[in-house]
Amino acid sequence: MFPPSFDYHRASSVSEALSLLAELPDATLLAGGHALLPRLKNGRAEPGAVVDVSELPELIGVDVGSEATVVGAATTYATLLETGTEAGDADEESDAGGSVGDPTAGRSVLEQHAPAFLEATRAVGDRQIRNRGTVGGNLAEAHPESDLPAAALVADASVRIRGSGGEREVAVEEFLTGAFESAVGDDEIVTAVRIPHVDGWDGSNGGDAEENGSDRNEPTVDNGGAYVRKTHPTSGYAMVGVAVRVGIDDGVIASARVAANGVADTALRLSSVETALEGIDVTTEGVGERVTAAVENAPADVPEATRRGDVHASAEYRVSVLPTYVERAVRAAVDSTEAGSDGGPDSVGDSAPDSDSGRNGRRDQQGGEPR
Amino acid sequence: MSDAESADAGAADPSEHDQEAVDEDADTDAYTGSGEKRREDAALLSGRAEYTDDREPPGTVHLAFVRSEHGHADLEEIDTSAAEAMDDVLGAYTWADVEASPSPGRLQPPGLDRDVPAHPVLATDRVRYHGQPVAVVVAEDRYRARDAAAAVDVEYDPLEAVVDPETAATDSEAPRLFEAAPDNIATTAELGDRDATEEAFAAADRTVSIDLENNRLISSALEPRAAIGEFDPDEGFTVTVTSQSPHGHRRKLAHTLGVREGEVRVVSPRVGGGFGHKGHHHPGEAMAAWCARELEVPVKWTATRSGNYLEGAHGRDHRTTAELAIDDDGTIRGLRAETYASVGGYGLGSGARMPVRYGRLLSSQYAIDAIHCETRAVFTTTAPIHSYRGAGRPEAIYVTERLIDVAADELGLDPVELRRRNLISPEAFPYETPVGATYDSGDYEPAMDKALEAIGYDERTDATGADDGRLRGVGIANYVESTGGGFESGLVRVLPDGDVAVYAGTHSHGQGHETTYAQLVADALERPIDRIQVSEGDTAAIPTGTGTFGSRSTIVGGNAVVESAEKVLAKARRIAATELGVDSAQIGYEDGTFAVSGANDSVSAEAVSGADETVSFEDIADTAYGWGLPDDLEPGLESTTFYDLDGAAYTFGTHACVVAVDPDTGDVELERYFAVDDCGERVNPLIVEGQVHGGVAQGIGQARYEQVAYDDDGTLLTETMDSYGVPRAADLPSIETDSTVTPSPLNELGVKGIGEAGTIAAPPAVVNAVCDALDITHVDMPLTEEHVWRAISDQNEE
Repeated sequence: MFPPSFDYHRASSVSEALSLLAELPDATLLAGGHALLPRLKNGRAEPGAVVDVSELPELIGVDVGSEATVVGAATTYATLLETGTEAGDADEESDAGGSVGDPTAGRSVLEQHAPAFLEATRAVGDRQIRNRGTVGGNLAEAHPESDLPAAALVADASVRIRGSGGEREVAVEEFLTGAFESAVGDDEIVTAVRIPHVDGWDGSNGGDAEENGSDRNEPTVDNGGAYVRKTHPTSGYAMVGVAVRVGIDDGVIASARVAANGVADTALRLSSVETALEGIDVTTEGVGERVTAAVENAPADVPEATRRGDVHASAEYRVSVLPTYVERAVRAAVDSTEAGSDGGPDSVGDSAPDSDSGRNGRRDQQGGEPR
Repeated sequence: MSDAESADAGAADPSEHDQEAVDEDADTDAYTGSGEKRREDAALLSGRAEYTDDREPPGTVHLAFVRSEHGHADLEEIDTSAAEAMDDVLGAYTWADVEASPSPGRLQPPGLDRDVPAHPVLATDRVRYHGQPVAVVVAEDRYRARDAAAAVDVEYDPLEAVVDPETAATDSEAPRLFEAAPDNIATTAELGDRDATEEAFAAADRTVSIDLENNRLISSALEPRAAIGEFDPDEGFTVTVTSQSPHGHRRKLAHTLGVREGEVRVVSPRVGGGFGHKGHHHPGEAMAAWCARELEVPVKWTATRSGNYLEGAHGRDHRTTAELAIDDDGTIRGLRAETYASVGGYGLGSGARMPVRYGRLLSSQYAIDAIHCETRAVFTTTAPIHSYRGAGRPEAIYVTERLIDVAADELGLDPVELRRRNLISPEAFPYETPVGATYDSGDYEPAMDKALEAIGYDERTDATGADDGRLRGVGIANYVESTGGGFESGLVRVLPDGDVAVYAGTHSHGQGHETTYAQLVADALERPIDRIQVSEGDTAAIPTGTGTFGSRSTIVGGNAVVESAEKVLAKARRIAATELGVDSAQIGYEDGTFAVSGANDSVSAEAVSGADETVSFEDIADTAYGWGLPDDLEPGLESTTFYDLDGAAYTFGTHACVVAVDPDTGDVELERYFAVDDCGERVNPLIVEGQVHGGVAQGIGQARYEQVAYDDDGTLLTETMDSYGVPRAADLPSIETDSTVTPSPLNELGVKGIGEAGTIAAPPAVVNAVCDALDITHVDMPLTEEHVWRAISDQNEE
């Protein structure tokens, strides 16, 4: 088929892009193109105009602030991984830097505050896709099996949306409204993803940077995270993906964020699991059993009507194995904390089979570049 | 002869054959037996190679299909007016137009018991599968053609669909596809002796049984099917087509178009994979030619990936109940199988008859006194079934190799030990099975032992291996593969300067014939390999041949070109004798130089300089086409052989794999995969190994990922690669290989085919391993995480 003919505009600013969206009939945005181009090819998208925002400087970059890291919407996965993992001066000044084997040593700000988000970013597609696709585009596409939404949920991230009336910020939970549906309007643009820095576990973020003596923003709690995925053998997306963030206070899980994708129309928080995890002492015997028991009810957090499956893996299967993947993600997250890495009496991560042993040869989602 | 048909023809007496040729390869300088790198790869890998779609005769226009959106429906009305009114659209055609033309417009008759109509190139009054061609549109370019096809308005009256062959045949409520097949049964077939088998079962200590499904697959060749039709009122049709069998396509196209074979020239340039589905004739090929005649311009059709997936054709799709009669000491007394095999919505030539023959390999490597196989080939509202790499062989071996593991479990015997006790002994060849196959040669135990040793079978750990919570299992599959059969043409033509042009009626679509045949001819003529050129794929240039399928090319094509080279050399020797003034019996030949033997023990550089006593191959070639030829010799230096293989050569081997199964998720990892294959003499071990790798990859694809799915309405759910699970490189283990060599006594080269070994052996090896890991009797393919997880769950409930 011929792709439908359309006018192509390269916007020179976000405001120009916004006015083009408003003025041109059936205009749509183009950034990485991974959502739009396949639709153009198979005739499922017939835009009158395409507004290219992929090279707008205002939309690109990772801004590490004192309270949050703000990732420009058109920042590619690869750029985020590059800048987001730069340890910067944290190496020299980190108070934890001295102890050998300290998992937080040399970690970048984003690695310390939102490790699951980086792991999920690393899990996206392959190198070519990560060089081209964008963080904002990923969330705006709201693909149910995409990796970033669950990770964004556990990071308490929010999405900045600009329209003719100005900019608003929407929590990811409200942003994801359905399969391939998000809160961004037809004449609006996602400009950034804001990832708050962890500061205590009372739900508030944005601690006092002065107190830390720098803007390196090390978490004031022992923070860990992980993203574990079973890759779908045909699509390459997540058949089941689980993102976890845990905060450990004095050896006890003080706070937990757990979210899954692949199992429902949108990525979603598993709140009963979160509640059950809180209070678990990860430094004493029997932690494995306690975690297993805590994740058992994960399926109950996935509303029946939203469950999702296909020819290869039914909704029933995905939801049934969800506790296993949640457990593995929790174990990995706990292991990435200082408390969890101490190798206590019953290190939680030792006997978990490798997740994702098949597709993409990526068996270890917990660290390093995928092989 | 059509696809896969030749595999199991009658027996031949091996004693009639001269085995000396087999030993000639002792010459260490020989090309044969060396891992010569594929000569075709530079062109293929650099993109220089020309495929059908790369060709664009001047004025070419493009054809696109309108396909049925329903699995089963009556056609009410087709309105092509909107499409025809579009710019750059040259025409839109339906069955009414074909019917009004001189062409019968139906593909080759399926040759079934039931007298049902053959597949029409465009649907007549009913569609019988999702994606069936309903109309065509021709436009100036392919995109316009596809847009215009989307503008054709088709009104359907949907009918009930039936996608499962057993349901279609046994459920009285199932919709009927054809009046002439009231129970949807296209053909029934029986192999072996029913009474003898019943007696064996009655006499045996026990019986084990299994119900299994051989999952429906799609050929995912890199290159989709394509054709360019050209028509000249004086010369007839030229059809450039992605064919495995150019001469077969010539005959089939002539039939569909209603012309004589002499009026059709078929050209097949490079073909990017076939796996059987490019052996059958397709409506697109016929309609490209038909439209070219209608519009008097070249018409090109290139299938989309989804188009290929919708009606590719598909492969496999069996439902089988099988039983093994076995004594407590492990002696297998009998085997019987009852199979419902899907034909699809129409019978496609030999594809529809595959189920009739599939049972011929049920004996696998074992001496079983009585076997009975009853097969029902059944119409279902699905894409037609045709041969897919293995074409009945994988279906049969899967049944037997699964049954043996079930029996071993029942007897408490090691499955390898059970196999060992029943192997056909090396002295028993030629071995005639009770289901009509005659195995030419074999020595099964050494190959099996090699595989077992390689994989560490005796030292294997039980159930839980390494301490990672996963369950380990080892799976073994023995197999035989019927290869070769039928005739093939091979022409060797020496050019006046001594270059050698080789032509064969086979057609390489990944097999590396350019290299293999060149090696064989270079050795036969003792010429440098770079003086040999191999051509295939043009019915105007090549003597009528059969084609490439059923692992036959090296056997029949290879022997054909070698025999022709030998005839050429004999004539060259006679010319040399005349030149040198001696009797041809006195002429020796070595490395391109004829010499009077006795004058020199061996032809040395000095001897060559003695011009009177030696003459070069080039000089003889020149003489052959020159003036000075004696009266009793016909000019020219070429020979054509139609090599005929009576029977089939039976390749065999053992594949073994180790799996780790995650009991919580059903995730399977193949930790080791080891293949030992015996395909007789190996002309090019590198190419053989490549065939094994590719076949194993596809076999693992069937075992683990690939499953064609239709919904209850007959809508194909796996229409794209986004939903159909072809394994990618990272999904596959490192495939380790080894070999034994048991030459075939049936052909002078001692070769057997290897093309399908991997697709035959891998599915049972992988399934056996997973069943071993889980300690279960059976789980159906593909072993998706979910299927395995369900098997674990069912087991936990018991």
